[in-house]
Amino acid sequence: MKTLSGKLAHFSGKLAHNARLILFIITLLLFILAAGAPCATGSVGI
Amino acid sequence: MILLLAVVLGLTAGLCRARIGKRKYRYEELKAPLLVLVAFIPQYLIFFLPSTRALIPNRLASILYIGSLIPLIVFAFLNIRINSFWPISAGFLMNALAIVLNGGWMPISPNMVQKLHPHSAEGAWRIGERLGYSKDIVLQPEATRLWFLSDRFSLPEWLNYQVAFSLGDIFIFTGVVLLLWSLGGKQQISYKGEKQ
Repeated sequence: MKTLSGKLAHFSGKLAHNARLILFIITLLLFILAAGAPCATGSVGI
Repeated sequence: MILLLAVVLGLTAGLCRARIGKRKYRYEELKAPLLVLVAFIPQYLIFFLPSTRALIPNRLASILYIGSLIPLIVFAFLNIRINSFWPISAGFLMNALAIVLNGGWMPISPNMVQKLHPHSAEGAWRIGERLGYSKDIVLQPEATRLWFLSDRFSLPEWLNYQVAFSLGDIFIFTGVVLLLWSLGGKQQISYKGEKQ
């Protein structure tokens, strides 16, 4: 029982870490898309 | 697209670094991440979503664009304490300064537009007007405020991908790669005992 609860705690801890990491990457992605101002061929509709 | 490359490069390098060092890949606790979403939504409608960007007049778009920079400035200052976030913040502030001082758009020179779009139709762009649905306005260098912060750099022609970018974009690119690389390294402890 103790092992099972330990495994569950480990799994949920890992899941929480990965979820926060993904959230961090998404926030960073949105920030650089909004903060950057490069102008590429074919992306501006002319 | 070129800034997304920074995320791919930095993340790949950081994950490899963590794997080699048998460490967990870390993340930073960003303050007020919702501010980024608040800023991104209007920009998504103005620049990225084809069905809406054609409907929004340029005047309104520039107002919304400048407005979207405000939450980003707050976010940048709130998170500037994070290692390697300061080049990203500095790059963004350079871009924001050039945009605000040039009527709400990032300036780009006619020569650079010609280089990016050599086969564009006659009248597809004009000096003094916004370039398509981009964040840019076509301005002569002598009519540009803080010309050195404008989209004046481009990649070598042999790369076969033409893009114009600013000094601020270079700072953002470098900062993102450094930040994502550093998260695969050892956790540093400051002299105050705080984890960084």
